Amino acid sequence: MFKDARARRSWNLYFLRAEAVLSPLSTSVRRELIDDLKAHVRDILANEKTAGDEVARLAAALERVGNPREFLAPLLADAVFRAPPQHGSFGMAYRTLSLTAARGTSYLLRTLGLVLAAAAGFVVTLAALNSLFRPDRAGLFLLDSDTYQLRILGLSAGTGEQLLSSWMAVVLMAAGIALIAWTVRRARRMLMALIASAS
Amino acid sequence: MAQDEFLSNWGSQARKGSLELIVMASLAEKEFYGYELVEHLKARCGLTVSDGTLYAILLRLKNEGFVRHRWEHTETGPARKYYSLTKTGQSALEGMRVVWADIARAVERAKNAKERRDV
Repeated sequence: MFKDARARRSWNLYFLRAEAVLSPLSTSVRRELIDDLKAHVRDILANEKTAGDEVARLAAALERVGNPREFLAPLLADAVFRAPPQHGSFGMAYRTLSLTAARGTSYLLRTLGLVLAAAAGFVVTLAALNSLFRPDRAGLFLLDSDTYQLRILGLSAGTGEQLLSSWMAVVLMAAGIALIAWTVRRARRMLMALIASAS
Repeated sequence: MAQDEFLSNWGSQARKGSLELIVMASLAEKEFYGYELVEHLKARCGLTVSDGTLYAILLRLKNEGFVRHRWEHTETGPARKYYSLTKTGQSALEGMRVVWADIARAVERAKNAKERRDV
């Protein structure tokens, strides 16, 4: 949508911030409102002939839409008052704690998943790269009929039959790099969401 | 300075309080899509609220069952979401108009009380 990377960043940060503010609401409501706001900003950009580059025009459009923390506050208040706690302050405390615990667990699991994915990408890339230069030491080896061995660093000479041909190693290396890039992108997005929810 | 700030906040609160009525009254006239409704409110009512506020209000009105939407495909761009008032919304709007008229009368009486005393 935007050619300028700064404009893409502003757009992403703005809607991550809005999503963070709306996080206590259901996914469907959150999705609907975010989609509506995105469509609205696109309408502003298409209809308002503001001077300046992409970044300036987007900044003007987002300023016109307003600060999500301010204009979304009534919706959150509605959500709380519509589902009043059944057991007074204990119910409210339990609700707050469960929400915080759920969000914390979700972030923890996602972080763990990303770390594992990045580690897998790193291992695959390293093994594939090493097998290109030292095919007798690193790569995927078939030891016997049903035993495989992944030799990553290839510090000593391997036994068995090397299964990775050169082109397979290149493909695996590309896949490993793609996996690392994907996890870095996801981690950055998650971090930005965390920063947005804290700011 | 403190008075200016108070007036600014008070004006903002007063506008927000009446915004739902204004939005519903506009949707009673015809259906609008978001951007069109914002422009309509600015041109017709001179409202200066952030565009995001309007979407929060539309969602709240939808949750109340006062507003519904339909999608319309456009030739030039993405599909547009048109909002209109439901029958429940029309009935609620009538009630809101009555309440608003009461408030306006009360404010008017309070404003005129001092003038009457001065005369």
